[in-house]
Amino acid sequence: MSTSKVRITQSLLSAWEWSFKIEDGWDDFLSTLNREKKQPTKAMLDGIRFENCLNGVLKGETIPEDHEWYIVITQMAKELDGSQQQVNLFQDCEVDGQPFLLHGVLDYLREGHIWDCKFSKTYHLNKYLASPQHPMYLALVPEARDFTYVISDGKYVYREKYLRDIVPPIEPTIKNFMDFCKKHGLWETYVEKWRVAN
Amino acid sequence: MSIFHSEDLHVEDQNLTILFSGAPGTGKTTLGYSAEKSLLLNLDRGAHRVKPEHRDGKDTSVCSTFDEVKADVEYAKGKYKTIVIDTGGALVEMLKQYVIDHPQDFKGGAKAMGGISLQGYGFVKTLWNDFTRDLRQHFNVVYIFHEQAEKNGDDGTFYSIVVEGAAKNVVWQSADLAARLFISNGQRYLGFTPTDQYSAKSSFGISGLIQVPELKPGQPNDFLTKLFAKVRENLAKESSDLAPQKKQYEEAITMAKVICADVNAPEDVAEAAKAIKALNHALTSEKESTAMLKSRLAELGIIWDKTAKAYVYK
Repeated sequence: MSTSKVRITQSLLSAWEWSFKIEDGWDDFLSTLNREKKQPTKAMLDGIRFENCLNGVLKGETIPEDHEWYIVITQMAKELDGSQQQVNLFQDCEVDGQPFLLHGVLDYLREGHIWDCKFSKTYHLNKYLASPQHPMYLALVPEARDFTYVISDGKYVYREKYLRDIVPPIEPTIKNFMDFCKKHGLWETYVEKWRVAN
Repeated sequence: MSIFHSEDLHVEDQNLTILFSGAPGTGKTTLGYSAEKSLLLNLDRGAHRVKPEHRDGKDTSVCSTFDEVKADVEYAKGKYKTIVIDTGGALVEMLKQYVIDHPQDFKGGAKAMGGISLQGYGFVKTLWNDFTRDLRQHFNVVYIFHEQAEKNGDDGTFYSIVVEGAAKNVVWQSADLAARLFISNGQRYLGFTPTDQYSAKSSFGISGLIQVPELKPGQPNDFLTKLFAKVRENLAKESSDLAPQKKQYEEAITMAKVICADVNAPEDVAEAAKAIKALNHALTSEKESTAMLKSRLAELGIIWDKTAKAYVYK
């Protein structure tokens, strides 16, 4: 077994967890595992545009009242005002003797609270309950008290808030992922592509 | 004056909103009557099933239209502390009818052949948001919902609230706390932590399963009154426990802003990083201050040169 330190992200864990749930999930997971550059989908581009618009407002830009997202962006900007944006974080972690480097970029961080902005036209209740993102990000910021997904479909704002004391630790998910990769002959690929340079 | 410094804002005085759902016979309406100084809007006409002693001293309003609901709520302002909506699903149905009955106010809300249009559902969501925002300003609010069992995967069951699909997400956002009321091994519980069987919302130190005791003869029906009191106690405790950390956090962030503003050239960076590290940090101030410094460097076009092992202009 390799003891090289490997980087792990919530996107990789998400791709793995979705690999059996959706069509093309397996190919998408292999592509993420191999760190292949992907063409952004329309949904991804919409999400980027929405987030850029929100971040612009948070930096002091004005949004015209007739803008399609005026109401929701104004509402979200009020909640996220004063937060630090795009906080890039790393945290060491060891699972079964294997060193990992947790890596994530928090959308917003302020006063012990983490927020992640999602633009989703298909939001439904508890959409993110099983996501590895909030356990991963709460591990990246041990001093944070909660994690909130702040979601918009362009018309309304929804929130899913996860308090630290009800969020399971990320380590068991990483352990399952590690066991899966070994069982399916993907461990060497993972280590090769995600090894942390000294 | 509606702007408060964080130390002056008494969060423990704010109105609270709870949503719970349950199967028939679990005692939802009885539980609704247990809220402090409540007026129960009996929209589903099920309140008569509650034992008289469990609704003793509590008022009930019977409404058939949203106009009547609005009138009763207006009347209740200043007289009651809690409004109980029994059920939220019935209120959504009334809102749908309201949209259909007022075509001049909700253009395109009704289909030509009858029933509500897709656009009409949008009006329902907006009406719900406006109405619940107003409710919350004046009362604690209890939303009761019926539940339905849905298939979850190959062998599981998921219990969700009974409400027209399009309104579900909006309804859920109105609540501070949400739980499923159910009976297990003869005991009634409110489950406040979401599971793969039901949605829930925990906050203010209320989470997991809380037992709802069976009411014995003569025992006051006051479960929600006590739960709200507990929430306020938790809020007050959290607020006082966090106050020193928040003060320390604000001081650290203020200092970090000054330190970052003083960085104007690559040679200033090491000193600034050292000064940020040395601050008396609290909560997430250290990570935020470091992010602040990185953002300042990006603004100035300063990067870390690995070969030179120094900060340089890009």
